[in-house]
Amino acid sequence: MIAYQLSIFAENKPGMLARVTGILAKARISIRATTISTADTFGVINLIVDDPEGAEKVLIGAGMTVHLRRVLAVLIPDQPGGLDKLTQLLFRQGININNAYGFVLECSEKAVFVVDVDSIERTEKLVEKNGFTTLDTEALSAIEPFHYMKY
Amino acid sequence: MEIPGVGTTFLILLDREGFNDVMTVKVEIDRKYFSGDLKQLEGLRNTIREELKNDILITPRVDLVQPNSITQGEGKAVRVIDNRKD
Repeated sequence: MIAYQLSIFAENKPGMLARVTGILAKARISIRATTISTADTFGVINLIVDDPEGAEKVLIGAGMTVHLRRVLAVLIPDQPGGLDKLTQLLFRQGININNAYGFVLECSEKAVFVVDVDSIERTEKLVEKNGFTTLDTEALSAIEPFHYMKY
Repeated sequence: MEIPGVGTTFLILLDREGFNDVMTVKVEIDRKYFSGDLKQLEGLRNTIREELKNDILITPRVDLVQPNSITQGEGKAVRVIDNRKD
């Protein structure tokens, strides 16, 4: 399954991220994960949200420059070696990772590793064939980040 | 300048740093060009810098900015702001 990452162009100055989060908060859109890459005076904010199309619409409506990128959100075990199994598989198949980040879903149980690769369909088939589960936007929205009651 | 990815508006800022004059060119990006790839944006900035260097023989700083962020009032567009004192 393919997930969508929201990429937002942002000048590297105070308040840019706050502007994005303010717009999304007002639209009641939940953020699952975020990364920021900068090249001194500008950068790209990457977000995994529960409503990518809705987020794209409100951010563009606010004058922002936004692109929806297709990414793979791979479910991995939250334990030593959990990520290594996936990265070794991608390495063996010569798949280059352009961007990646992860977040824990359930401590010591499950995590999600988001990868941005060139050959997304091929990578999707490869990881699923090797026992990994990929999540789409709906699946990412349905899962609880943490089970606080458990701890 | 016909470079894919460059928007419609630019602004040149002239500043003095110590004994040196510094030129910064703010360039609005083309919304359609943005793919979320930082390397692509850095490539665009380098291309603009090289093109300008070939034309004006100095290497300016280039800042990529949001479309429609360089405000222009009514009348003739302001393309250069000279912040140098004296």
